[in-house]
Amino acid sequence: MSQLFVIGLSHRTAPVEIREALAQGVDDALRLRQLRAAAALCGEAMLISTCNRVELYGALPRLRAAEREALARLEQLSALLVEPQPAAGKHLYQLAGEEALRHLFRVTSSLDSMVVGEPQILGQVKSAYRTASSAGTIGTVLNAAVPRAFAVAKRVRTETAIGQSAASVASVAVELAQQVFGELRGQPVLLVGAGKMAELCARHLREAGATDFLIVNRTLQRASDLAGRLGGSAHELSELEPLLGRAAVAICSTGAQQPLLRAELVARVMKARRGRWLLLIDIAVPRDIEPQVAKLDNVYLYDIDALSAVVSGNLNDRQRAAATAEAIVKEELQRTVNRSRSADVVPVIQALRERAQGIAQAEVAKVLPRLSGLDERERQLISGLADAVVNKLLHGPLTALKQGAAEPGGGAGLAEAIRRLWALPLPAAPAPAAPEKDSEKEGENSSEDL
Amino acid sequence: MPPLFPLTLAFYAVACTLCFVAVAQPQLFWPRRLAMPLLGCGLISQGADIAWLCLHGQHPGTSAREALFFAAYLMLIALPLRTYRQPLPLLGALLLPVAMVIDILVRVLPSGHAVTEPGAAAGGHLSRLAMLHIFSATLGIALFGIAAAASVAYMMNERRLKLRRLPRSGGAQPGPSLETLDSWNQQGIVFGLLAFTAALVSGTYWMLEMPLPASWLHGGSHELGLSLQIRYLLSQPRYMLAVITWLLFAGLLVGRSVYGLRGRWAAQVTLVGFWTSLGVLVVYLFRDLAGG
Repeated sequence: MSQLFVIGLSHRTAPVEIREALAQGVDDALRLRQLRAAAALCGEAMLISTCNRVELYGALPRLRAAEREALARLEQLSALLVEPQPAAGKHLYQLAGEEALRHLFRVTSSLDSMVVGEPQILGQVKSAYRTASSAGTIGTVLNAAVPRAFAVAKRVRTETAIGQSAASVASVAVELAQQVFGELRGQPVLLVGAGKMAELCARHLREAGATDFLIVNRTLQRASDLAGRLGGSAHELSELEPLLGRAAVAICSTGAQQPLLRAELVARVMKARRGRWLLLIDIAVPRDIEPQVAKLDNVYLYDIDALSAVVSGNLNDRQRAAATAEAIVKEELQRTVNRSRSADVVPVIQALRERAQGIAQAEVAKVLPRLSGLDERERQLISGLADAVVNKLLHGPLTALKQGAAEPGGGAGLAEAIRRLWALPLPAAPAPAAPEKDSEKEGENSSEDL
Repeated sequence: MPPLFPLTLAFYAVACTLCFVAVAQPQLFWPRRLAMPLLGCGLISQGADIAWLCLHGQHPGTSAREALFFAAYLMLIALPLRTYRQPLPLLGALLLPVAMVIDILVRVLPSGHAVTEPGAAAGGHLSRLAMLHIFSATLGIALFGIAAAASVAYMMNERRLKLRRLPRSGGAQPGPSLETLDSWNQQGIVFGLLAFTAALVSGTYWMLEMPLPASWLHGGSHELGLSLQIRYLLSQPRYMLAVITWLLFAGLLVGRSVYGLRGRWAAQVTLVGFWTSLGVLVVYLFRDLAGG
């Protein structure tokens, strides 16, 4: 009898330097080697590796007798996990059984993420499960636990609003653009300044469908570099006014000390645009756009404070939704644990019945040929008598086993004892389930919590 | 009263409540999911009532009451057609109360008299011109109603964006964008204006065919018959309201295409135009009640 365990570190236990060090120089080949080495140690393994977490899931013997062996294996696995950065060892946590399962449910449901409710983690866990399946390191325990975690995550996403509202400035910018224009395909996006934040916003807009990027910067070379990365066109700052006339969304992030977009300029542009809507996102400090611009018709101006206020409100909403999500995780955990306890004893009950009935029927088969003159009804009576004796004898132990299954640990211990006393065979491990394809928006390649 | 009227009202009332719940609690899925089927049931029920009324000689062309009842029906039937891909509770929350008030008003008030015209008075049947006038006016006003609901939704969303309050969709799909709502407004006005133009032209011809009231004939006027009739037309509040409505919407379309006037300004003009168009029907309704 095995149980789920997890060894790992995350943003909750390790500072960013440690996580960075663990991520640097780690490639897919090393992760695959770690995965196979872990599977060799504990029979099955799955490795989740994101910028905010590295976790190894596997199965270890549940029995008290095997505790020392399990601890030794955990030590080896821990060393394996922090191989690229041994100093990270002190930040590791180890969980087993129900606690490990609860942790897996919370991680997959994005309750343990740095930004609660972020959608990437589910894709990353699915990817890890697929990799482990391909490597042949998924066994009975992980095959039961991980798909269950996917189902819990799906339920959390469906029944709560945990991932519905934008949780970063960049995603708020996308939501705003969609509120004004709906479809972003074909809507030109003007980037004034080629800073990192503007680029992040632009990347989010591109994911949402925007394709036409106009980049203006004091240094044309930087604008060209960014245009190359985004697939847009670079322009001189002197072209700002005509470009603003073309753009649907403008994101300003320059280091200018005076506003670049004054109310008169925007008013002039709006006249030329014949009232077409203009969304202005000002993430620069000091601001690049005069606040009076917000008063113009069909112009929507959001500065960094306004965006942050929206993000903060959304994060509060997520925290509220997280409370409901935790209740769902608790309920699902209880259900899974109960099912698992019953599942632990069912194969033993079946094997015990088969063994006892097999013995009884074998004895009946030996005796019947020696009894001459019995008709069919009498033969059936003798056969039935043997079965009845077996059932009566097994009633007490089986009832105790079923009752024990409802108590934490009780069922597994009794089942193991019966299995040993009767020399029952171990149940065969089922084949791993193929993980479902991601049709959801969670990105496997994007990192968790961004 | 048509037999299914209470049932229709009950369906609309529940659908309307659900639309309000969906607007107030966007994270709940079930109100928006339930609202549309209930609205559909109400529409079937009201459609059956209209058919029953037609069979009993009270088709939408017989009185302003029935025309209003039919206009409310057309306004609502456009809602699921327009938003079946993306249920929009806000439009439901705006249109359903208006339609319910119209429905209750026309059923609670006494029936009044049928529309008067020479042919109708003699044989009880309306001419084709009169039928065209009443149906196109009803259709036009219903389409203006859709445009007005889209305008209200636009103004609410626009105000929220101006105040920098991004909606917390909380699981629900965000509603249509400003651009989409503005295009719904434009489409409603374009098609509504086509119908309303047909109503205005046919109404003018229809009224010109009618004999002038005695007070106008014996008032000592020296004008020729046609110019007297035109002066009579322009003195009628319902006709003037219809002309003002037409001018407002036509002006809005010209402003849109020539000067790019859109957004909040267009939404406000649409609302004014819709109220004046409703005014035409209200004048008809009270004229009916007064027996004029």
